[in-house]
Amino acid sequence: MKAAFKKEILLVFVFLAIVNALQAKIWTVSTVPNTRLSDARVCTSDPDDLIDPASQAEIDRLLLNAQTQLTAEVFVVALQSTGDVDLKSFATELFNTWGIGKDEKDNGLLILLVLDQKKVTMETGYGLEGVLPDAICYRIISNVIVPLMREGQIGPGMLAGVQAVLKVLSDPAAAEEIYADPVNQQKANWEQTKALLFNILIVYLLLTFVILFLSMNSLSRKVKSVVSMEPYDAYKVLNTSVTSYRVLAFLFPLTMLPFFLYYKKKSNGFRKKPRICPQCGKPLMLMSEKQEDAYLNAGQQTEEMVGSMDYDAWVCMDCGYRSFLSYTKSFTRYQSCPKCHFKTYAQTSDRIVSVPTPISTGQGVHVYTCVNCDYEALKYYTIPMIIILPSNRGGRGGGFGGGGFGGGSFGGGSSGGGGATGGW
Amino acid sequence: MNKGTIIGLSIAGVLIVLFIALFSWGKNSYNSMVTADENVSQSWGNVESQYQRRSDLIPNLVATVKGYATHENTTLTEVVEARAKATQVTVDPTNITPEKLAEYQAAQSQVGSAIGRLLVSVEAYPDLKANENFKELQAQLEGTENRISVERQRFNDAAKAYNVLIRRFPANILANMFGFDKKAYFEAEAGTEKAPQVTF
Repeated sequence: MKAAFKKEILLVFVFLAIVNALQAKIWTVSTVPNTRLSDARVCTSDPDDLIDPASQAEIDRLLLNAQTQLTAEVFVVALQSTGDVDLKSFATELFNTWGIGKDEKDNGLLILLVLDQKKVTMETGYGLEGVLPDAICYRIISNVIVPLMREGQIGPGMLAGVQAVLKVLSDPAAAEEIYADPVNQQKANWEQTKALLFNILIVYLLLTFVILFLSMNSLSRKVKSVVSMEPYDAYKVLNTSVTSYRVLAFLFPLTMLPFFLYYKKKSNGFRKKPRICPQCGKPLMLMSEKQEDAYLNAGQQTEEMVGSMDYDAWVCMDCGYRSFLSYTKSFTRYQSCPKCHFKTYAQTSDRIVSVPTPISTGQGVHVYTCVNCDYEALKYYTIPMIIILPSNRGGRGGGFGGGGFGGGSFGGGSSGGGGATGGW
Repeated sequence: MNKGTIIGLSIAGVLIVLFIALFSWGKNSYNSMVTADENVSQSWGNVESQYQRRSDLIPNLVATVKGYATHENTTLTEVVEARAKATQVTVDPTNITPEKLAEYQAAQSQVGSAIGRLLVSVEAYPDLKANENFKELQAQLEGTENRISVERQRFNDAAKAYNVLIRRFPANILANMFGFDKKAYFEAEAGTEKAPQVTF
C-alpha cells in the first residue's frame, strides 16, 4: 500500500516547492539586502533582478562617481513587493535604518521602486531637501521615470531617473550645500572615556583609604603581640609580616607611606631597645656605626659597605661581653659568596662571547665577583639563533565581493520624510 | 604620625570620597534630565514647524483651486477657517500636558480633514487634476504630511526617553526635588489613522 502512494506524495512536494519558489518574496526593512555592506562600490540593491545588468552597471558607475566627487550617497533599491506597507514610511524607515548619507551633512538619497504597487518613491536626507525639494523629486519621477516604466523599461527608467537626479546634484551652486568634509567624531568617545576614568578614580581613592585603615589596624595589633618577645626576635617577626605589604606599596605608594613610616618607627624602637648584659647584669651599650667597625671583621665591614647587611654591636663596658646582631637589607643584589660566605657576591658584568647567527646559537657569559675575597666565577649561557620572519604579504583583504575591494557602510545620515512618490 | 592620626585620616578620607561620588552622581543625573528635557522641547519645535509648513502651503492651494473649481467655495472657506483656528492653539514646550497636546492635535486634525475634503472635491475637475502646478502642490502636501508623521514619531521617542529617565529609581527622587514632570505623547486620533490620501 505505502509503496503505491510514494510517487504521488513526491509529486505533491515538488509541486509545493515550485509554487513556493515562484511566489514573490515580500521584503521588509530588515530583510532588504544591504549590498553596500559587502562591497563599498555598490550603489544598488536589486534582489529580484528587476533592473537589467547593463543599466545596473551604469547606475553603479554614475553613483559611485557622484559619491567620490560630491560625497553625496545616492542608493537605488528595486523590489518586487513589500506587502501592504505604506511605501513612503517604508522608504523613510529603510533610509534611516541604513543611515544613508554622510552624518555631518545628511546628504543621502534613496530611490525605491516597488513593482507590485507600481510606484517609485524618493527619500531625501535632511541635507538634500534644499537642493531636491519635494516638487523637483515629483517632477523627476513623473516626467522622467514613470513614462519609461509604463513601457516596461524598468532598468532604463531607473537609469534615466538617476541621471536626472545627478544633473541637479552636480549643479555647482549646490556643491557647498551637499559636500561633506571628513570630520573627526571623537568627542563623544572622549566623554565616555572621561566618565569611565572618573569612576575608576573614585574606586581607587576609596580603596586607598580603606587599605590604609585596614593595614594600620593589623600592624598595630602585630606590634602589640610581639612586644613581649626579645627585641631582636620581635624585629624579625615584624619585618617578615610587613613583606606582604610591600606589594601594596607598589600599587598605592602614597597611602602606604604613612604605614611604612609607622612601621619604621616601631621597628627601630625594637632595634634600639636597651638590653641587659647576661653576664654581669649591667646595661649594654650600642656602638655607633663608626665605633662598631672596630668590632666587626673585614668581611662584615665589606657587607656593610656594599649595603647588603647591617650590624649592630652591643658591648658591655664592664665585663667585655659582646653581642652582634645582623639585619639583612630587604632588596639587595648581593648573594652569599661560595668561597668566603659573606654577602658580597654579585654579577659585575655581562659579555658576549660569540654572536648568534641564523644558523647557530651564540654564547654569553655573566661574570660574578666577590667584593670581599675577589673570588670570580663565570656563568655561561646560550643566546638563541636569529630568526628571520617571512616578509608580510600585506595588501587588501581580498575575499569580499569580486575584485579585492572591502566592505563598506553608509555615513549615518538621516531623513525626515522628505521626497516624493509617483506611480503609473 | 601616630596610629590614631592615621586611622582618623583614613576614615575622613573614605567619607570625603563617598561624598564626592554622591555629588558627582547627582550632578550627572540632573544634567542628563535637563538634556532630555531640551531634546523634547526641540522635538516639539520640529513638530510645530512641520505643521506650520503645511499651514503655509494652504494659501497656495486655495488660490490654485479657486481658479478652476468654481463651485467649491464652502470647502475652500472651511480650509481657511480651520487653518486660522489652528494657528491660535499654542503649546508651551516646557509644559506638555495630555490635555494641551490633545487640544493641539484636534485643531491640526481639523485642518487635515478640511484639506482632505477639498482634495476629494477636486476629483470632479479634470482640468485642475491635470494642472502641473496643482500636481506639484499635491506632492508638496504629501511630503509635508510625511514629515509631520515622522516628526510626531520622533517627538514620541524623545518624550519616552525623557519620561523613562525621570521615572527610574533612584533618579526619580532627584526629579521630584527639581520639578521634572512627565511629558504627554501624541496619540493616534480616533477615526483618522492615515494622512489625507493624495493619490490618483
